[in-house]
Amino acid sequence: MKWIKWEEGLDAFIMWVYGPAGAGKSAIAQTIAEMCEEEMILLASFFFSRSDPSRSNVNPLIATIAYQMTLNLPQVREAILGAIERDPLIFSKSLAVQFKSLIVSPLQPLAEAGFFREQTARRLVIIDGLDECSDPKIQENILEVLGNSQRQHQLPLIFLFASRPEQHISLAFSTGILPNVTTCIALDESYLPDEDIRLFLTDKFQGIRSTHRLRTYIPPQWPLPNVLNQLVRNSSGQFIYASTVIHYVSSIRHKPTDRLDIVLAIRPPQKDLPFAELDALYTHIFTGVEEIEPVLEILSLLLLSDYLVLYLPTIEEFLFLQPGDVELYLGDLSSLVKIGSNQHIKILHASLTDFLLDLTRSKEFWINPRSRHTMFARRCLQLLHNGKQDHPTLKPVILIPKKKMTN
Amino acid sequence: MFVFVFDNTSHYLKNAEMTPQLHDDLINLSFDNLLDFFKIVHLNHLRAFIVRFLNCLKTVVSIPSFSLTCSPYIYAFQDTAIIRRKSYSPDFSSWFRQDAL
Repeated sequence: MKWIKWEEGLDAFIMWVYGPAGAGKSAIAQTIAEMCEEEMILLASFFFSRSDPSRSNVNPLIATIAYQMTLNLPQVREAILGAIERDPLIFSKSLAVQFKSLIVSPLQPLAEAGFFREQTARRLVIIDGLDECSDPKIQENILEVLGNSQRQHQLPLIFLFASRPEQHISLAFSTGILPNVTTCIALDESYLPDEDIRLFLTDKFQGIRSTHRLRTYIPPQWPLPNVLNQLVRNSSGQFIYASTVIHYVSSIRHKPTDRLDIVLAIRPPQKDLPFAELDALYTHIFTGVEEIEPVLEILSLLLLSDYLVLYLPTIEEFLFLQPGDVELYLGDLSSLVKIGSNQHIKILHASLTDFLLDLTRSKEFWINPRSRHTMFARRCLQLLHNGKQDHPTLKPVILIPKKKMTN
Repeated sequence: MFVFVFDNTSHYLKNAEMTPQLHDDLINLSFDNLLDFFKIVHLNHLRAFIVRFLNCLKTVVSIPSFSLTCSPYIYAFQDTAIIRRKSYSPDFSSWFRQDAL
């Protein structure tokens, strides 16, 4: 917050918060967004998410920022609307052109009129999950465009990026003008995440005690301090562990006290591995699944398909399941996977994908991409060969595969 | 759902492991049961599917001199409803060779 409020007088107009999966980057970005919104410093925020087709590519980025600008800075509203009226195809143009027309040009007259004269008047734009934007080249392009525009036009903007420290992103932040204008924060052991995780857990357990359907069976002192300590230790600095525990414990179909006892009884086989506790928790959840093969088949289809989003009826038809089966099968994974009201399945955290595709971590629950691709290829050929001409979904709909959307 | 199959077949094939079962499926593949579907699907989409599919076959079967005339896969493929529906491209075989092979 000191950087945002210019209290440290840093020249950097970009902050990069990076850390591994589950470190809590998105949680931090979300909290900062809420705090800055309250203080009217937030200009816009965009949270990339590879499991959400509306947020997994760059297409909506500038449009979203521009829209939020019209809400948070009404003085630019006319200029932004004017730019869209003058060029209705603006959103199909390059990122640089969109940024210039919809962000730079509307802000410039205000800046020149002294609206942002005070350094503290600068506004924050948050871009979370940069690594979850579909194409690494586009991720670099976003950094390049924002960095160059900012340097060229001296806008009153500061940018907070959060992402995994992927090689190409690290490289982009260390070349060109970016190293001179960026301050970095690593979410590793050095930032002492344990206290934040303890706060998070305390707050969430309090929520469960006061709102859970079976709250009358929960003792007021639950969970005991030593249990909280153990959960913090088990987290090993990863928010995702704490978050998954909370999802698991707060299931409305179970008693939270029983669920927490189960979590505490889980013992990872090798404690020295980086995701040992998280993997043990994931393994435990998958072990509890009644029929694992169809569940892994559904998850494989989600992870390996060429589509950004898959809807329940498509999955059920493709896997020869009955309507409603996917929801039933995934019922045991409610702490990891969410089925939205639009019948679109969402994997709650990217670390689950990493887990399932890594044999050393998921072991018997490993999704073997090669053999799953073979299985799905055979299913496709079988369906093409057999045909089903009277099928109700046989209509000329052209969907957009991942590759095209990323372009 | 067929649109999903149509779009994803090549994707799965490209990343698949060539097993004897998959090999047999490819040899025996026919599109005759999808005539009605092919009548309503957008022609560009159909063309893209064929090109993707053939490109993919080239990768999957790993035959360096893969061509329309030597591959049993293509014999199977040629004898299908897609190829017989020539009306949308008079020089169908030429763009096969250019685009896909």
